[in-house]
Order: sequence, then C-alpha cells, then structure tokens
Amino acid sequence: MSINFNESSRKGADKLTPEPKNTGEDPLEKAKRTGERTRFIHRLNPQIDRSYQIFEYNFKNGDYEHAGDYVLINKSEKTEITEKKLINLMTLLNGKDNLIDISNLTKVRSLFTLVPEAQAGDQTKIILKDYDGSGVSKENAVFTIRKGVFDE
Amino acid sequence: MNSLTNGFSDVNETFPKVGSVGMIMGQFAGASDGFTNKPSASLDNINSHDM
Repeated sequence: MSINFNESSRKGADKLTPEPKNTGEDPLEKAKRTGERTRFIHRLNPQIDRSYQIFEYNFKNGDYEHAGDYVLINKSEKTEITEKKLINLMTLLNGKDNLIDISNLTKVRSLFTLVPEAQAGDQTKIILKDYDGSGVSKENAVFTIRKGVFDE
Repeated sequence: MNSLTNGFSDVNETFPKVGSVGMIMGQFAGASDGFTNKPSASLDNINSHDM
C-alpha cells in the first residue's frame, strides 16, 4: 500500500488557510464564525423585497433570535440609503454613536411616529416618514422591534 | 439577575440599556435629515402684521 503524503498534506493545509470571506457574508454566519456578540444585527429578508430582519443575541439560548423587522415602503429609495439607515439603526440600538451622516444623500426631512401600544401588540412599532416640504409627509418604512428593547 | 427586585429577568440584561424611543429615533432621523428648507425661528421672518 502506498501513501501519497503530498496529497495528505494538501488536505490539511486547506483548513489552515481559509478562503477570504467576501463582504456579503450573512451577519448571522459571521457572528457564529467570529464569536462576536453584537446585540443587534440585521440582514435582508429573503421573503420580502426591500425588507430586513433584525436579530437580537439571547444569552440564555446562546444564539440570535428574530426580534424585529424593517420594511421599506418607499420602494423608490436608493438601496444605498436604506442600507446606511439600517447600519445607523443597528449602531444606535447597540449603544454606539458613530453614525453615518446621510443627510447629503436625501432631500427630505425624516420624521417618525410611535404607534400606540394598543395597535402595536407585543411589539414596539414605529412608522418612519419623509417630508419634502410640501403637502403631507409620506411613509418611508415601518420598523418593529420586540417590546422591552427601548427604555420605558 | 434582577429576580430579587421584581421576579423577572431580561434575557439580555448583560447588555447596556438601549435608551428611549425618542432618544434613539431622534438621533436616527437626525443623521438622515437632508431637508434644506428648514424653517427659521428667527424674528426676522415674522411679518410685522402678525405682531
């Protein structure tokens, strides 16, 4: 029986030099791979167009759980802007303040309305609106997160 | 655990508090507010007939 040691070594080397991860890595997979425990992370909802799922790390279960959603209503908004808004939202929820200033990318005033508890159920529901200075404001997105995340 | 105080414990009590809705969403809106024609509170803009 002959053993090709070169082949055996090559197999082991694959594990030592992992392929570089691309920037589009799933946040949940990245968190598991790196062991980083950011409280809130987001990713595109595979089921709903221009919609994002928000996950929260649960220490008891040791895993991320679905905690909310960000559903874009104004589909004409550029993806770049929506992505940066989500990053800003996660930054704030994670207690950081290094926000991306996107004021130069928009020409509208950003407003928000908190939906009354009686209508929002067991979630905190916030309607985000755009106001361009004329007429009435238009709905931009709906952000929902499990009740209790925000301080009362 | 804060079970000694109210019998309940938040699953993520090891993370810092998030903050109020107004504080968080106010900062969020502020970073993306590109409104250029912001109304001025300056007295110069108040018509004398309104005084």
